[in-house]
Amino acid sequence: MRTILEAAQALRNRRITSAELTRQSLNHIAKSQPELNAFITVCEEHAVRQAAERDRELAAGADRGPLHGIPIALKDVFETRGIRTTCGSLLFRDHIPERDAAVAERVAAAGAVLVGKTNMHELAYGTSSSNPHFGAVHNPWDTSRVPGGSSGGSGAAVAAGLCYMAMGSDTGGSIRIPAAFCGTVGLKPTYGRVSRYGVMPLDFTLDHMGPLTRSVRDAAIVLQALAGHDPRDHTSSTHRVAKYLPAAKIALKGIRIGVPENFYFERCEGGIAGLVLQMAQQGAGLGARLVEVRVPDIAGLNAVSRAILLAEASACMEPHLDRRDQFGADVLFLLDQGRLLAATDYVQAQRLRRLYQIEFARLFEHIDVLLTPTTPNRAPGIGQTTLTIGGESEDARLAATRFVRGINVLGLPALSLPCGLVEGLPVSAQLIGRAFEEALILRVGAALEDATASTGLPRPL
Amino acid sequence: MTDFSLLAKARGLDLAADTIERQAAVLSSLEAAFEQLKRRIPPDAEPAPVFVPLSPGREGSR
Repeated sequence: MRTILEAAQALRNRRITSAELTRQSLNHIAKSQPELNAFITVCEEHAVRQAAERDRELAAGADRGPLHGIPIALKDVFETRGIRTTCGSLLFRDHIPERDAAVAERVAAAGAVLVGKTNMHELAYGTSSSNPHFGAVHNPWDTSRVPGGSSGGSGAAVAAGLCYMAMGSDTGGSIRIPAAFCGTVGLKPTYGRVSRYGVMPLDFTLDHMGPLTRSVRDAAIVLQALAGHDPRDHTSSTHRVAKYLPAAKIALKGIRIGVPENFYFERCEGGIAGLVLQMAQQGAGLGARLVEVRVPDIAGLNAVSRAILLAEASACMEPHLDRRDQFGADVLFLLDQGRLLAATDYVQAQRLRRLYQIEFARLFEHIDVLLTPTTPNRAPGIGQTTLTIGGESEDARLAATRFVRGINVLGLPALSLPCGLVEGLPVSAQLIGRAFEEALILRVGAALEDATASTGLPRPL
Repeated sequence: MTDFSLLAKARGLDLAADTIERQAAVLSSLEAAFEQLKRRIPPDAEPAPVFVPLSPGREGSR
């Protein structure tokens, strides 16, 4: 069984129990850990106990919905009561929270079984997930390569079939990049759609929470469980929660898919643009109208993103910055950078943010979704810090974030879904929608996924 | 252009010369990008409304 939907059906047909699914998951994790290092903490006892309880509930006719009894994982940035939560940092290596993050509460309430906390880039501040304290996470498609980050353990775990869903956080692409490099689906919902309560923050205004899964419909199932107002997070939205699960058969008649004629397809590794444009054509084949659009200045938007992130992340970590030996070199470099940024540039970035939000709102008057590659490159090697794309040398982190980080500034929902392989490594497309229109990007994403038969592209170990 | 070596000292950051050099390269390029971007901002442009005012009982964000 590859997806939550398939496992949920098997549970209800009594072809398998939650205890058995959970045992499979724990065995896979144990077997893969030396090779992938996808987990920081495995909570075996907790998972076994929870799965037994879920089986008892189902037997008694108490069904919590499609996540009931399904083994899942949380990035180690989500606080879990009584279970160590490190944020991939030495600073928090012994942190055992007394509360659950809202996300942990909601997936538990929906019946999911927590098997562990996934490894990640230190403090969620980077894209390699080569963690200096807990070890590098390896990409299951090629273990000499990174899984992306910062939610790299979540991407690796889902791609390798260690669990059916793993939660990630996304400040500048940290759900979508590992989803793209590992060949899974990754959903970054609208800012405020999923509560940030109990999530160890990297940045106050850019952090978003969302799932990595093996199908678009699975991502919809998870969002249904997570979405909704939470008064404990003052940026949590009261916007109406839609029904997210797309129908079994989807037509896209009347949907306008924007295809950028500038920026996104201009400088990618060979084969990537072609696969994404092929996916656009598949959308047209399902009835969608392809609309060529000029997008606003994304390079400028990325500069805005960097200024906001540098300043806010350094402010966020300021209480700890005198303990310099507790940080890895790359993260410390960024945190120092934030302290050297002009305060005026931060304020101007927030003013520019508003202008870009208006420009994108105008763009979305002409289209319903925007289709782009998720990343301009496939997964780089572990330890690789620069890439050459289109003849230009580029910092690996800036390359990975080039198409995704600006969307966090805008707060818009974005879905990454696999669209094929180039030389044996996954390549993904990104669908961006209007604020709170997750249902639409999930619907379009599911239709494209059905058309390309690319569900999760799982690769067994 | 900003002298990042002096600025780092003023901030109490004791950084090696090559680290300062790398920081300066990154920050100077960001600074140059902002010089261009700032020209686009109309005088009455407000910052994005990201922060929601606190109300009683909702002060505990995270």
